[in-house]
This record gives sequence, C-alpha cells and structure tokens, in this order.
Amino acid sequence: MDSGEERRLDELYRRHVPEMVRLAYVVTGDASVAEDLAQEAFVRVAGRFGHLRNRDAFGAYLRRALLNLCKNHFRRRDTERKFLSTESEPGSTHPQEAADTTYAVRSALLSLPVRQRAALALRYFEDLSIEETARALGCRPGTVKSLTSRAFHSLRVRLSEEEVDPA
Amino acid sequence: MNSVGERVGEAMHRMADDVRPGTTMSERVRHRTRRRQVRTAGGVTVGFAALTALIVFSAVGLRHVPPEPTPVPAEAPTFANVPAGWSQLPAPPEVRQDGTFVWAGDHLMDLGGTIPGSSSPTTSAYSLGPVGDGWSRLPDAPLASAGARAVWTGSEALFFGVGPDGWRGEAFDPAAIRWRILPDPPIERRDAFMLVWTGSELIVWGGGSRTGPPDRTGAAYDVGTNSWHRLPDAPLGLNQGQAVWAWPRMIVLGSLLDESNAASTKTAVGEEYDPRRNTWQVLPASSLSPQADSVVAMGRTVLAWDYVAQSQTGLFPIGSAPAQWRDVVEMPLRPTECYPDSAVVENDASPEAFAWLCGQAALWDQSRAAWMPITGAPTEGFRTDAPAFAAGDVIGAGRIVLLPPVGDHDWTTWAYRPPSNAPTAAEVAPPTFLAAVGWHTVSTSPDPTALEPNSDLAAWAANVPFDPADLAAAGNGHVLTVAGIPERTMRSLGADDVLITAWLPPGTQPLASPNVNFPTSQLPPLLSTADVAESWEGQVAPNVPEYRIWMTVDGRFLDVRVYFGTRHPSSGVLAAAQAELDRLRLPPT
Repeated sequence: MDSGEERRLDELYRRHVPEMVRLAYVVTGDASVAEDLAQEAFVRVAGRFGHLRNRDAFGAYLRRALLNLCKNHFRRRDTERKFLSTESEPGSTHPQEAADTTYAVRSALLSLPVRQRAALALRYFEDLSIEETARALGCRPGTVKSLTSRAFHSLRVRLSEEEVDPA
Repeated sequence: MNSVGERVGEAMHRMADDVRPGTTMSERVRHRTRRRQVRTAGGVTVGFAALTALIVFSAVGLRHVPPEPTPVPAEAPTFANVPAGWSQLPAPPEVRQDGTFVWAGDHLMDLGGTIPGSSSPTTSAYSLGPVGDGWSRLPDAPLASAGARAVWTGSEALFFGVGPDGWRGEAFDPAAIRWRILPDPPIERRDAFMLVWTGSELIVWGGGSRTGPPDRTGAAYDVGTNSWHRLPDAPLGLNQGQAVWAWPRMIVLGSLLDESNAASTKTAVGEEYDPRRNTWQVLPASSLSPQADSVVAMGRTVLAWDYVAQSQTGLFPIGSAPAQWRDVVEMPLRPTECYPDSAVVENDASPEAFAWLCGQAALWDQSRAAWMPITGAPTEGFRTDAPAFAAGDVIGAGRIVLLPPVGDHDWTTWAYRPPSNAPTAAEVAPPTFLAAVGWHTVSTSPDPTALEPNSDLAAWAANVPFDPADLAAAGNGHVLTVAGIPERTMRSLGADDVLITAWLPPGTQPLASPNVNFPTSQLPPLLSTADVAESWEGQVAPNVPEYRIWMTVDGRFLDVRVYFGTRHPSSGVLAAAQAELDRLRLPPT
C-alpha cells in the first residue's frame, strides 16, 4: 500500500471511527464492545468500499454496517447470556454507576430492544432526519416513526416515577 | 420539563462523553483492512462470484465503486519478506549500549545509547525500513540519551528519559523528518518508571528506588495540547513491574521490592488508572511471583506471566463488575533467574503474546487459549545471565517480533514471525442442511482464509429465496464469510414461509462443562421443544415470532432459531419446518 493510500485510510479512520465508537456505545452500553464493533465495521467497510469517491457515502455505509453488527452482537449475547448463566464469569459490563441525574434515562434506554435504541440514537444522538435514519436502519420512514414511538412509550412507562412529561 | 426526546438526546450525549476513543488505527485494524482490500480487489478481477457481489452492491445503492485492480502489500517491504520462524536482520550501523528502539508503524527506530568504553550518551538516530534492506541515518536528536523509553503514537515516536538528567522527552516525526523537545514533566525524576501510550497521551508513572518510599505519582503528556498534567496519586506504589494500555485504562502490575529484593506482597499486585474519570482502582492480587513479571494486553484480555514460567489472563470489566484473574497456566519455559519480557504480535485469527525469558521463547495463542513453545531461538540455552535480555528488549512490530541488540556482544537484530494461527478447515466446518426441493440453503465458508475472524459457524435455510442483500452483506453470494442475520428475508416472510438459522456459537467450543440451558440431545432439533418468543430483542417485524432450540450435540452447543411469517403458523408449515430441521447436519467432531 503506498503512503498516499495509507494516509487516506488513516484519515477515514480518524474522521469516522471515534464517532462510530460513541454511537455503538450509546446503542450497546458497553465501551469495550463499542470499540470492537466500530473497528470491525471499519474493517468491513474500508475493506470493501475504501475507494469511494464520495466520502460522505463512506460514513453512511459505516454507520449501517455498525448498526448491523450491533444487532448481531445482541443476538449472540442472547446465547452467551444463557451460556454464562451457569458459569462463573463476571457479569456483563455496564457503563456507569448511578452517578448523575440521567442515570434513570440511561438505564431505561439500555432496556429497550436494540432496534428501538438504534433508532433513538440515530434520531437524537446523531441528529439524523427520519429519512436518513430509515436509510441507516434499512427500513421505511414509517418504521422509524413506529420504532421511536414504541421506544418513547416504553421510556414513559419506565420513567413514570421520574415525572417525565410526554414528548 | 424537557421532552422525552430531549432527555434521550441529553442522556445519550452524556453517555458518549464517557468514551474517549483513540483516533489512531491499530496495526491489527490496519492489517485486517488491507487483507480485505486485497481480497475484494482480487475477487473483483478474477472471480465471477465477486462480480456478482459487485452487481448486488450496485443494486443496493452503491454507485461509486472503482475496483482496486492491484493487490496492495500487507506490510512494509523491509519486513514483509521475513519468513515464519527466526530470521537475522541487519544490525544498526553503530554499536551502542542502552540505545532505545521503538517500532514506528512501518520501521524500527534506534536512538542514542553510549559507545562502548564511553559513558557519554549520544544523539545519533537510525531507521530500519520502511524501504530498502538496511539502516539509514536520521537527523541527530536534539537531546542525548541512554536507556530512554519510547512509544509510537501513529505519527511520532515519543522518547522519554532523555537529556542531561535523563528526565526529559523528545519526539521525532518521520513524515516531516523533524525532532522536537517536549515540555518538562511536572513530576520528579525516578528510576524504573513505567510508560504507556493511551492513544492521545503519554503516561509516565511509578517506579522509584528500592531504598526509599514508593513513588505513586505520575503525569500524562497530551500531544494535542503539548502539555503535561499530573495524575492523582495511585493507591499502590510499584518499583518493579510493567504498565500496559488496555483500552480504556492503564493496567500496572508488579511489586514493591526492597534493597534485598524482597517483595512487600506475596504475589504480584496491580491497579488500573482510568483517564476518563481520572481515578485509580486496585486490582485483585494475582497468583504470580512478585519478583519479576511481564504483562501485555490483547484486546480486552490482559496476559501476565512471571519468571517462574506461570501465566494468568485477567478480565477487568469496565464499570461495577468485579475484576478477575483466571487460573494459573504453566508455560512451556524453564524458570530462570532473569526478567521476563513480552510483546503482542499480530496474527491471522487473533493477536498472540510472544514471551521471552533469557533466550527461551513461547507463544500464547489467544484464540485457542494455549501456550506453544517456540524452538530454535537463536540464543537458546546460553544467555541466562546476559543483560541483553532484560525487560524492554522485545518489540512487537505488527506481524513480527523484533529483538534488537542491546549490548556490544552479538550485535544482531533478530526477528521472529509466528506461524499462522488461522483456524484449520476442520475448525471452521459449518453446519449444513441437506438439499431438498423447494428449500434454499447456505452455510459459512469452510475456507479459513475467507471466513472473518471470530465469525460464527452458521447455516441458513428458507423455503423462499434469500434476499440478495442478505447474502451480499454476509458473504459473496455463494457462501457466508460472516454469520449475519438474513434480516431482509426474515422481514418479508409470508404466512407459509419458514426461515431457519443454525449456529455453532464460537468461544464456547469445546465445552468446559455441561450447561443446563443447552440440554444434551441429539439431532434433529425438535420444534416441539422450542422456546417460542413472539416478541424478541431486535425483532424485525411484529408478525415474525422466534422459535429457539438450544441444545448440546456431541459436546457442542447448537443454537437453532426458526422464524415464520405469522405468529400462528399452520400445522402444515410447522411440519415443513420440522422436515427441514430433520435435514440439519453438523460437521464431524
């Protein structure tokens, strides 16, 4: 690989991966898993699409690959959870203790199904539009509305003791 | 009161503030990306299958995919041709003692040291690679050094312990071919300090003499602001040990020795520093000797070992889960009175730890959780007292380990490349479904070089064609190289449609012990025993239930999931699904 290509790869990494780690962390709630998934997504997308002329398209593909990996992670975790339930492994890692006022919201967020959490992360963390969120999740805009609506409903129920106003 | 949306956004941004991801690509990520680029480019030029995949990618919206026609080398030319096993590389042109070597991404740098017979540190610097077959002279450093320590940031080599008092830092940027001097650190000089690179900061911590109190202080140099800040004092002081960066914290392990070399603790002890919270936490005591230890990090796993040739891996979860050392594993090395040293070396399946103990070497295969002896070490058997093999001499350099010379004897640079640790074809043999009319099946690739590392071994079956996007996302259209989920196919299932996935979950094979959640059984999986979930995490559509059948077959966990396009499949559809489950086969054990 020539040095120009190396620099380009480095630039892609610097530009996109830290933000993807944060997005994955918001979706998975596990910092080390988030970094693993973001790096894995980068390997897959840069490996295939590293030569895209349109740099913005790279970010979109990366985000989509990341969210797919998040979903796979939760599916696999289902199995691992079952496996570990009779093993002496330490519990799964959690990001934060109840140290700040948003802990209840965090906790409620992490209890949502991964697709709902991903939809909220794209809408309210990445600030994507409904259409952009739909493209990232590979679904219709109506599905995004439905996912966020159901997520809000669950959050309202969970946070009812926190006196959260309806959106 | 804020809306739920605003509170969600605020909570998510606060969550995201907890992580401070590095901006530098690790060698492992770089290597894997290059491999993928090579595979993709090669496939596009020579393979119809890849052409099909390209068409599929275009169909899903990719409009700018100029294929890269030329495979790219995976390593810098100087080091790419180092064969598996031991090799001798050119030695630096100047014989010096206490020089500092550092792997700088694609070349080896050598700085300073003293000329034999002289006590004056030097400023000369050399580079082996990235091109050419020999060493080349670099501009002299601004400050002389001997016995300095160094890290590579991704763009600069940072040297610490340089200058007249041996307590300053300097940096070399190979792209700009330029040196600079770092500001003075805000902590006092001490011996046996530890050094790590966090991805954005250089941390100097601990150490101290064996006659005085332990030095629990440390400081971090931020390359972005070109400034230092002090760390909070650590709970434990260690004057013998090593520090390693295991994202997102620094792990230090060692002991406090007195002038008689007696340790203050029965075993090696450690602690972790979390830069995000600027806090320290004491780790559980290890079972290792406190006299001499080495530690490396491979992803989230930390491996430590001692001079009596025993090792432990540690799990240090982030958050409130307890840290834990696993059982001691004996190493294929003879206990020897010298300092152990180790380095991480990249490999096909997963990184490995190269352990070096006075001329003896061993390799920890993380993917198989096993030590393997390395024979034929160039100095095996006659270097038990040589200072050349003290800690700090083993350098991980991507796919190889470098052992540069330290003293004026045997002025030679050795390189070791481990054999590939890629899984064998037998290890990646997937489950399969026997062919049947009206059914479409696909399994993960049995080619270890094509399958993604750590990918699950899986098979899909459906009585409808798979959506091409599912196949493209998980493979090349004919085999799966990544065990993804056929989500689009799953989403479009009709009332008479069935989709089955069968996995052999990785990391749990072979079984260490029976597990009540995976009852021992035999093929075929029976739908009548399934755990039915009408609502499940990641559910693609409300009409798609998940029937889970988890079992242990021939000592292996088998995870089977069956999906229908309705919550109430007819008896005929259930029978069709069971008939396909009857055709599931596992590879021989």
